[in-house]
Amino acid sequence: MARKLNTRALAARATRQIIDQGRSLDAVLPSLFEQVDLSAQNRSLLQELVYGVCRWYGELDALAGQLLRSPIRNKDRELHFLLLVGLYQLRHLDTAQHAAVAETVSGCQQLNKAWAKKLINGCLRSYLRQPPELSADAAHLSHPKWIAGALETAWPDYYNDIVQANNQRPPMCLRVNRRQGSRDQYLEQLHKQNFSALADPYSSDGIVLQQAAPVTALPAFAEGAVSVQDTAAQLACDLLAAQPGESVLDACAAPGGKTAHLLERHDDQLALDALDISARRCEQLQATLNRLQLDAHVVNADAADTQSWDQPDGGYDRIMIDAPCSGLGVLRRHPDIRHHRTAADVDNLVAQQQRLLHGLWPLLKPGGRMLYLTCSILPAENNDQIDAFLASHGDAMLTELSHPSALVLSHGVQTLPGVHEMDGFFYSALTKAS
Amino acid sequence: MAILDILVYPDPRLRKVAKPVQSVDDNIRQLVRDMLETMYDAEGIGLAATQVDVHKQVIVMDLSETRDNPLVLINPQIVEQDGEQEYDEGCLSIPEYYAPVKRAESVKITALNPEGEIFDLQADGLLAVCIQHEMDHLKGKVFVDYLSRLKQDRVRKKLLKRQRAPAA
Ligand SMILES: C[S@@+](CC[C@H](N)C(=O)[O-])C[C@H]1O[C@@H](n2cnc3c(N)ncnc32)[C@H](O)[C@@H]1O
Ligand SMILES: [Zn+2]
Repeated sequence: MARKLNTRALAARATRQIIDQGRSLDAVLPSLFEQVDLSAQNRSLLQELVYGVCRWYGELDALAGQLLRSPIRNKDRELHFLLLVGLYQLRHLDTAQHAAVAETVSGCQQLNKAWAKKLINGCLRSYLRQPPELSADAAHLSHPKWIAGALETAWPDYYNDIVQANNQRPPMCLRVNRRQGSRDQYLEQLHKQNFSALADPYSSDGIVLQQAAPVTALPAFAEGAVSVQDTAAQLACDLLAAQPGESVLDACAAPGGKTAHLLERHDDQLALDALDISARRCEQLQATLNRLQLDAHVVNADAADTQSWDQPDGGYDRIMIDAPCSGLGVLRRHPDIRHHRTAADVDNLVAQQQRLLHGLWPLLKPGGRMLYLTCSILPAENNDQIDAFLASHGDAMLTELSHPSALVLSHGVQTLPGVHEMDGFFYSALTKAS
Repeated sequence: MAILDILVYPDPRLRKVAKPVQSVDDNIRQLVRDMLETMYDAEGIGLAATQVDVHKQVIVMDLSETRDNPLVLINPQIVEQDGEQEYDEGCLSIPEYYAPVKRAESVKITALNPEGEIFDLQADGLLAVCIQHEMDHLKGKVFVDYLSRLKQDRVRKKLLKRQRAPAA
C-alpha cells in the first residue's frame, strides 16, 4: 500500500495554483477531486483548508514572514503554502495541535521535499510557543490593499463589519423550487433527516442551513427540489416583479440561478429569453434548467449586440441585467476573487456594464421595467453607474425599491456582508416613460 | 539485498494467485529482505510478493513514522473480521492514485513469521486496512477493483499513458 494520502500537501498545491498561478478555485478543486478520489471526510477537510488559506492568506503570509529566518526559495513555493496550511489549522481550526503539526510536516514528503521537515516543524512549533504579533489591522491584512482602501472609502461606517464578514464562512442558503412543493414541506423533509435548517426571514423561498452539506446529501436535489443560492440573489425575482403573460429578457443568465427562480415562481406563464455570452456557461445554464425541469429559450449571444440575436416584436416587458462585475460583494463565498481581481479590472467591468445598459435599453417596452444588479459593493459599478445612465437617458425613471434587508441608496438598494446577513448585492429598477 | 521492480497496473501478472509458502527457508528470508528494501525505497507502507512478480504468500508492511518497525506475514489467513471503515487507499502498483475503499474495521489473522513460527494478530484501523489490501494482492486483486467501471477505466488509461511516456 502507498503511504497515507496527505491532505495538507494537496491543499498546499491547490492554494499555490490559485494564489500564485491565478487559477480559479472553482477549476482547481474539481480537477483535484478528479485526480484523487477522496473519502467524504478528506474532501471536506481539503476544501476547508483551501478556502481558509485563500481567505486568510494576507494574515498567514505575514505570520510566515516573521517565522521564517529567510524566505523560502521560489522553486520551493509549495513549501511556503504548506506552511500557510499548517498555520491556518493552528490559528483558525480546532484540529488537535499535535496532529495538525505532524500531518503538515509529513506533507513535505508527499511534495518530495522531505529535507524541509525540520524547517516546517520548527516554524509551526515556534508559532505555538509564541505567535508573532501582527499589526492591529490583521483582518484588513487579509484583503489586498486596493480592495481594503476601496471598501473603506465606500463604506466608512460599515468597513470593519464588511471585512470581517468577508473572512468568515458564510451560511449555506437554499431556494426551494415552488413548483415541486412549499418551503414548509421541504423544511420538514430536512428536519426529518436531521439537518438543522431555518426559514430565511428575508426571502419567502429561502432556507438557511446551519451547517454546509454537499448538495448530493440534500433531499431530492437531483430531482430539482432545491437549489443553492444566497439570500441576496433571491431578491431579484421579487424586485423584477414580472407579471403573468409578460415577455422577459434575462440578459446575463448563466449559470441560471435567477432564470430558474423566475420560472419556478411563474410556472409556464413567462416568455423568457435567457442569454449568455459564454457558450460553456450556456451549457451550465441548460443543465440547471434540466435538473429543475424548467424550460427557457437559451441563447448564446452578446446581449449588448442586439443585431446579433432575435427579439420579440415590440420588445420586452421586463429586462434583467445581472451584469458581469467585480464580485467584491461575494468575497466570503469566493475567497479567490481577492487574489485575482485588480483595480484595472473594475474600470473594464464598469465599461461592460455601461455597454449592456445602453445596448439593451431600446429593447424595453414603454412602461416596462429594467432591473440592473451586481454582486459588487463598489459604487462605481452600482449607484454611480445608474446615476450616469439616468443623466444620459431622458426616458428612464428610477423606481424606488425597498427591502427590509437592504440599505436604500439614491439610485437603488444595497445589501452588505456583515451588515445584512447575506452577500453584497446592488439592485436598481428603471422604468421607461410611456 | 536488492530493490525489485514493482509491477504497475494494469499488468496482467498482478492477477496471478499466490501459492502458500511450503517451508520458510533462506530463500524466503532473502525475498522478505528484498521486499522490505523495495517497500522502503518506494516509501510505501505495505507490499505483497505478487507486486514484485513472485507468486508466493508473502507480505511486508511498516506503518511506523520512523520506518523501523517492519511486520512480515507469511501465509496469512483472516480468522475473524468485524465492522466497516472507509479509507483513501493508494497502492505502489497504482502510482499517484487514491480512492476510498470500504473494508472491515478490524480483523484477526494468523500467519507465519520469517522464522516459520505461527502467530496471531488482532488489527484495526489503518493496520487492518493495510492487511486486507495486501492479502487482496495475493489473491490477484487490486483496490481499484472495488471502484466503478468508469473510475477503473480512467485509472487504466492514465497509467497506460504514463508508461508510454515515462518521466514526462
Ligand atoms: C453575474 S453572472 C450571471 C449569474 C446568473 N444570472 C445567475 O443568477 O446564475 C454574469 C454573466 O454575464 C455573462 N456576460 C458577460 N457579458 C455578457 C454580454 N455582453 N452578454 C451576455 N452575457 C454576458 C457572463 O458570461 C456571466 O455568465
Ligand atoms: Zn497495493
